[in-house]
Amino acid sequence: MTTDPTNHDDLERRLGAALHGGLDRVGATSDLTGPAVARSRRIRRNRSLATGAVAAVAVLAVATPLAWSSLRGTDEKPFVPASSSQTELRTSSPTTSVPTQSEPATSTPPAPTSTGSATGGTGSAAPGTAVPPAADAVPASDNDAPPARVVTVTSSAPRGAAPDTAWTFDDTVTRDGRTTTLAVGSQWSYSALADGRGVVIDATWDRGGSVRIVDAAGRSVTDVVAVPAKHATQVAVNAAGTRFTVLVNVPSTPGTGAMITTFDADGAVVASKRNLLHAVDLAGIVGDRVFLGNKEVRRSYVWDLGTNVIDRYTDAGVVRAVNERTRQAVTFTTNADSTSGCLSVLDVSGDARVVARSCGAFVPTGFSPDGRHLVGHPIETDGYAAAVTDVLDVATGRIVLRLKGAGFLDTRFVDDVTVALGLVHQYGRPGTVSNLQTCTLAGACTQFVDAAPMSDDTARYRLARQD
Amino acid sequence: MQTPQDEDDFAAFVRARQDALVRFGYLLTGDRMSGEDLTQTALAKLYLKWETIRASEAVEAWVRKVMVNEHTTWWRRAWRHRERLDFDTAHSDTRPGSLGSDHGPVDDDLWRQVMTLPPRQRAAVALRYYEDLTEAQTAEILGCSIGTVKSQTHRALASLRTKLEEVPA
Repeated sequence: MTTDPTNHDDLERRLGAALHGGLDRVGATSDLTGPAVARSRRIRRNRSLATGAVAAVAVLAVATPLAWSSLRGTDEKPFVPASSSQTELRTSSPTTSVPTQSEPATSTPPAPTSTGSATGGTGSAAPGTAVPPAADAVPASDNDAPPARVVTVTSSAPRGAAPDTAWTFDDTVTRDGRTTTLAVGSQWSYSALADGRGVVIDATWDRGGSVRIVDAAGRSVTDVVAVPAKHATQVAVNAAGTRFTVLVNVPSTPGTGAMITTFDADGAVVASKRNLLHAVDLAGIVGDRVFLGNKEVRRSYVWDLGTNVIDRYTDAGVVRAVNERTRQAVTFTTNADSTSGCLSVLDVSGDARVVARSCGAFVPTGFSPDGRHLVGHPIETDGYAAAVTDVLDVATGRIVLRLKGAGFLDTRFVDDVTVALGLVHQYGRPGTVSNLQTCTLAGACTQFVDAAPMSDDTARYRLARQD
Repeated sequence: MQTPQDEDDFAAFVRARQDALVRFGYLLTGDRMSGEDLTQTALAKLYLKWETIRASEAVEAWVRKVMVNEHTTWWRRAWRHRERLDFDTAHSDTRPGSLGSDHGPVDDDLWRQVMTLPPRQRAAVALRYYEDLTEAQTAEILGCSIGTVKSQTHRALASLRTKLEEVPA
């Protein structure tokens, strides 16, 4: 029987058949009742511990002003205690807030609002509350307004000069106009270190591998972390390229947790922590501090490398990126419906003061070097290669540039006014090519490499991480 | 849980619906074990709120909504893309439920292309064309408007249609 896949009804019919054909024999490998109950007890235990700790301090926070008021006489109005979120922030201490499995972090899992939000919690922004309470003093702009400039990025952009950044192509890396071959088995992510060195995640999802330092000639210098199979791995490098942090997350395996280690460029351990809860993302390094985010419980953490203590950081959302040069961090909190959220830009040099806020669909992923702009993507464009990249002006909270294309794999600023893009064109079609381009805030885009066909659905060009 | 009866009812619900939920998780994550893990997390949260949720008579919809929320927040990881590609490679020959001969290779391509859709599009497609939910029901689970469901589904179908056109006969 010949079918026409372009016919809408026929496609829908066949889609149903394909889904049933692919899924009907899939099922649970065992009875999930026991594991679900065990996991629920862990969630409840975590909440109880955290709630108890917060409640104790909250009592102090309330009792102290009341006692103070009573001493001053009844004609004076008592203090109004700080908001619950501020109280919670004060409660953070190394012993109660480290997200380890032995001392679990507070847990306020997202839950459907139609049937009630999660119980427990500690007074942080409830699911569905987009505005971080600690940031209320700063008015939020609306980033859903139409972008000031929209540019369509195509595979036929004019040739331009290469920016001052590193990139990889298959197993080669190009830095400072010089291309070298990396002596690694499976280069997944290259991050530039000082003195021409780099740190490479030499691993595959199925087989695992290692995180290793390579020298300027591409030779492997040392393995710093073994990556087991099916463990998500992230690397962040400080601005000077003299330190890097490796986070190895564990995919929800009871009894084990994430491991995070910071090394110097020679591979010597600066600090290390084990048994973190798995759902942590590495946002970046600022001086002696490493910033982490936990999207599940909507928390931000800071790891002090000097004391080797991880502590709660801010209530203004989940930290997504940092700018070590300007001492900024950006957080984002998603609404319950996952269609919008609010970002807060923080000054991390002091007390995590919120300096700017913006709400809408924009999800930040990185700063410009001068800290005046953020690059990111609309929240709806999830997936392998987001089709839209946005640039937001921190001061106004407005989208000043929208780049539209087939797919953006990597997007980051290479100077104050230029965004570098790793692109795939016509993703999913035979003959799809990928290349690297730059686009200025004025909307001028050029490509600095020759487009290359993709291999096994994987783009061969990738921008190196150069935080 | 207040009573043994509650425990029994919860266990009965899990046993009755766990396969369907794991299938949904599988479609969301593109990975069988991740799908089961996602299901377990959602069921754990259901257990904590069982007395409240069971009264709503929309228990399964609630669980699916938790799964979608969990997936969009918890599962965004750097390895996501590689995980999905590896799934395609590793499972393409052993995927359960081979299709009938009259659909064979073409629908195998269709299945593969479904797994390349962005997660929310894939979720919308799964709910509409696997679970046969209405747009309103799908919107409720995805926590978005009906218009968003329409646009996500439309984009998914358009993407699939484009990709299928490229499949050699």
